[in-house]
Amino acid sequence: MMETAAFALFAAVTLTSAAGVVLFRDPWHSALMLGVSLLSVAVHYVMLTAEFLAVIQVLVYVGGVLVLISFAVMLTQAGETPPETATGDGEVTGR
Amino acid sequence: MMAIEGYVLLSAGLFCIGLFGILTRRNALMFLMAVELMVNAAVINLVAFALYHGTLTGQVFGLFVLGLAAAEVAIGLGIILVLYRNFGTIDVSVPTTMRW
Amino acid sequence: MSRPRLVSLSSRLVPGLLAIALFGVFAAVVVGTDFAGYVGFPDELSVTAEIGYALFDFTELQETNTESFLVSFLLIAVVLDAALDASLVLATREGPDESVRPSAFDGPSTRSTDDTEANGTAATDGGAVDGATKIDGEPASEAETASPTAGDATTDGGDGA
Repeated sequence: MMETAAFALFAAVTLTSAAGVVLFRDPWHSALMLGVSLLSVAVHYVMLTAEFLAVIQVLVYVGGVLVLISFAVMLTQAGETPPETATGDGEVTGR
Repeated sequence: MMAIEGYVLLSAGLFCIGLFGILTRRNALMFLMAVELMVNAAVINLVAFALYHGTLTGQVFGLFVLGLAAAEVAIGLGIILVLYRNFGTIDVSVPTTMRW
Repeated sequence: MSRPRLVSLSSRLVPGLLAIALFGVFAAVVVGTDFAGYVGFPDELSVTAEIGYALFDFTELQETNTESFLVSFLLIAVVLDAALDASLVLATREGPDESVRPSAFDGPSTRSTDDTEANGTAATDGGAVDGATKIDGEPASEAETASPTAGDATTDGGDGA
């Protein structure tokens, strides 16, 4: 019962943050939500008795991939207009 | 032990959210993050069925998929930076040079 | 100040609905499948040690029937090396006599002006630190044109000249 509750909680966290990744307009917010999603996926690995994979997930994804993605966000969004002044759907500038 | 259906449904949901992101966004960075979500969905499936079948092959495969995803992100970020350097944007609908 | 805004999906909603429909198909298949025959791991199994044995082909030490993965392990190592080299190749800027700019930006308006005006500065500055000048917020010295895309094209044009 406790395990089902934990699974439901972390599944909700995973799916909500994944929806945030694809729905937020600013890629920086998307990167932060991707971090939350990857960490909660690591919790799912622990619940599936894959502790080593959970550690590797945190190390490789959150420590490596997410840092690379945030570097790319910072390098490519430097000249963009801030989101509060963007008009329209903002997709023209690649957001 | 949680039922396996929950993990398979979670994996399907994560995969479809990633697919949604790829189909609806035009930012190349969003493509990369959505692909990360889809890879994670696949690894959740592998790990869940590794436990289900009582063998560790799925977990080792998940390890390999994680390594491959790291390599893919390294190359993808290189491509995105070159895209930004050459076109001034990372909107994937702008570079039409190689489009037939 | 920077409250998260959601992207507007009005123009591209149809492919998104396709993805959600695919989830419906997945859910129908998963619910309709019988997941009996659950095996699971034995209680005192050391999962991490078993993964290590599987990665290095120590089959006589294994307690589960995991396959051996030594060749795949080495192949992944080679692939990671190739990815490192490929990302370095992608990130390295080409020499001053080799333009990486596609022909789409070879319009006569940007091309004819930058060769005469911004030749010297672009060759030195526009090369390696193009992204760095954008980060610092100070505009590139040769970017007289207003739009950022045209300014970028001007930078690379002087590079290729």
